[in-house]
Amino acid sequence: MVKSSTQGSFHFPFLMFTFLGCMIGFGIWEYQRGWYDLVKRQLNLNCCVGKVALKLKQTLIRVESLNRKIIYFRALIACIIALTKDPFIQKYQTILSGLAFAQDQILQLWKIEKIRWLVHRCGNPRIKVNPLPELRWIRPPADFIGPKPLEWEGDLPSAFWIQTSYFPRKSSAKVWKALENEEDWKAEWALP
Amino acid sequence: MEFLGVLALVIGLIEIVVVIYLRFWHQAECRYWVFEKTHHYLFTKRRLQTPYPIQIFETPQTVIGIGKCGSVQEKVELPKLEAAQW
Repeated sequence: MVKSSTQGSFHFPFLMFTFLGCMIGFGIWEYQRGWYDLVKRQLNLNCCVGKVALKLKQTLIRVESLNRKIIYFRALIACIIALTKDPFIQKYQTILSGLAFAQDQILQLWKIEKIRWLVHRCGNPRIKVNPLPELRWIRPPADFIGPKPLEWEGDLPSAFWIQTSYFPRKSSAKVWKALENEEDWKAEWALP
Repeated sequence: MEFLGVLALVIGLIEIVVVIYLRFWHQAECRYWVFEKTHHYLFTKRRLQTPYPIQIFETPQTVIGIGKCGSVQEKVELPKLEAAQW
């Protein structure tokens, strides 16, 4: 004998509803989490690129500023040699050598930064990094005045690029001179 | 009778959950698109086409994106490179 029951009609719709609700909720949560990971990835790339771009900008500004000081001191020493026999001439030459030494140290630090960039890879080996720009400054041999200012080998690029990518995101920045003959370098986010 | 009561209860619950989920969905979408459009503008100075109305404002230090998606409003502020601090 089959006993009919009206109890239990609540269970199936409720189960279906709970299941669907959970699935949709989980889907939205998963979408938010995926998006959050992408943003985190993008901001990490930006942070990494940004720090190095500002470092490059500082390097370029310092080297060029020291170059101008070297040119100034060389002119000063040349005048002193031509006009007088100042006993303090060696003092000026020491300053000149100091400036050239400081420039060399800045360029050495940039070389170290280039290696660190390739090895560190923004803290994640899966991040693809393009090598940092080569600063192709060379110093001509010193003369009787002292060390000469650095000269760029070839044409100075209009912009230096720093790029990284971690699929599907990428980040890049450029360091550039706003106008020709302007002394200041600028850094900004940009896509090549 | 019991079935109708349950059905009404389930429909009511569905409605509440749909409203909550729609809000979450709009929030998720809004965050995504506001970030994407603001970030795109920061890098390219071009405005990305988005399914939601998103306003972009530029200050000397930052780019700000404000979007309205349904009842949700999201704001993203990204620093320009020279103004960024890490």
